[in-house]
Amino acid sequence: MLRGVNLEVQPGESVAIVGENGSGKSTFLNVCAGVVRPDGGTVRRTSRVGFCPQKPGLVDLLTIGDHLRLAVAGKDDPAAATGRIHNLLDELNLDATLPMTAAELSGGQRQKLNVALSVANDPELILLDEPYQGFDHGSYLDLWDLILRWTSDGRAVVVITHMLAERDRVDRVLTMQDGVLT
Amino acid sequence: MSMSRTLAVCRAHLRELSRRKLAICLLLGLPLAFYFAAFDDGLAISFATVGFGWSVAIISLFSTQSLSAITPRLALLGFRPVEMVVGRVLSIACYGIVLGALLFAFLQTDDVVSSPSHLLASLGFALLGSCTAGLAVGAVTDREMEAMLVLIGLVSLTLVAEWDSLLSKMLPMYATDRHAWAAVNGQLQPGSTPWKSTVLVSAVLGLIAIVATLVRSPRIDRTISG
Repeated sequence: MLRGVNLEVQPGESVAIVGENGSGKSTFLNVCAGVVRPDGGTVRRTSRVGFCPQKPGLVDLLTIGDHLRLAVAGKDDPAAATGRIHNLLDELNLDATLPMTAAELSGGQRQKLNVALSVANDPELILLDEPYQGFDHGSYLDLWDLILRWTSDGRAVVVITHMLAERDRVDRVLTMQDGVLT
Repeated sequence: MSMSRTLAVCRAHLRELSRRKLAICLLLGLPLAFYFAAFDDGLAISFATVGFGWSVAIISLFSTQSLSAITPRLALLGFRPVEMVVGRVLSIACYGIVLGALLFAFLQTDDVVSSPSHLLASLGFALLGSCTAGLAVGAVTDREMEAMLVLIGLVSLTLVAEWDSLLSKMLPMYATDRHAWAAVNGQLQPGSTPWKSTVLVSAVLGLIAIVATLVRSPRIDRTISG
């Protein structure tokens, strides 16, 4: 599906990838994340990668708290990691103490949890596949504030988007067409 | 291997399972249904232990598939495949030991049981064989329906396979059935060592589960080559 794709992202840089449905954007991000193994070529990346998949990777019968406890298990400082995720959820206007299971959350709430969990490992490279699906406008703006803060902290961010308005918020915009990135 | 990550996976499985209240009731009832279905045939103990094995295999299968949505994320967060597999095994063991203890206490009330130690061995081998079978089937199949059909096939073969045939020895609950027979008749058949084939089959199934999990796990290396 991907053909001759070549992308280098620097620390602190934000890159948006746009393209039609089925053009290979998500496949590319999955390859970068390591979820899909490439047939050829090489991916070189930092050791800490955060990946927010298009479809929230959540377990329907686990609560927000259950997901958080699982995400911070084994970390050197679980309390700090938990605090970081709680703060992020606060900024996205989702109460981390809600006793609801993932199946009981709205689509937007699930997506907020998806975003928060994707940065639980304090990543240096953040891959976001249409991260604001189901977000209200306020949350959408809050997420972009977060992305700007991540890049100003020196993290690299690659985001797949369909929204033209976002082109002005990133350093580079690339187009994926039939598996070719230009 | 990180014990905290392994235990976190175990706890997540147990929490997830504890919220499936109807499923728990049905899984608790499964061995009893097998027991009462064969009550008049003199095979009640054997059927009950096979029903117990099936119940554990179903839990084992769904423990693999229930967290599959979050497995890539866990890998990126630093969870190793072996921690996820061992976490699942621990949660299945917790479930199996509780259910097995309840079933053991119930079956003890049946007068036909003359050797409680063989009954205990039967339940233990059921836990071992069906846990590894469920993990292996869950690890190599993506879809629940296909996986359930494989498990139904295994249980059906266990119930219909000829006594001491090669086929029965290759099934994960061979020792379960033999020890259930011994629980009623007081001892195993002379020279019979059913545990050998069940341990071997379980080891192979466990290896399949680990290899399939490793192969399917996301790559977290800094360099990934195709």
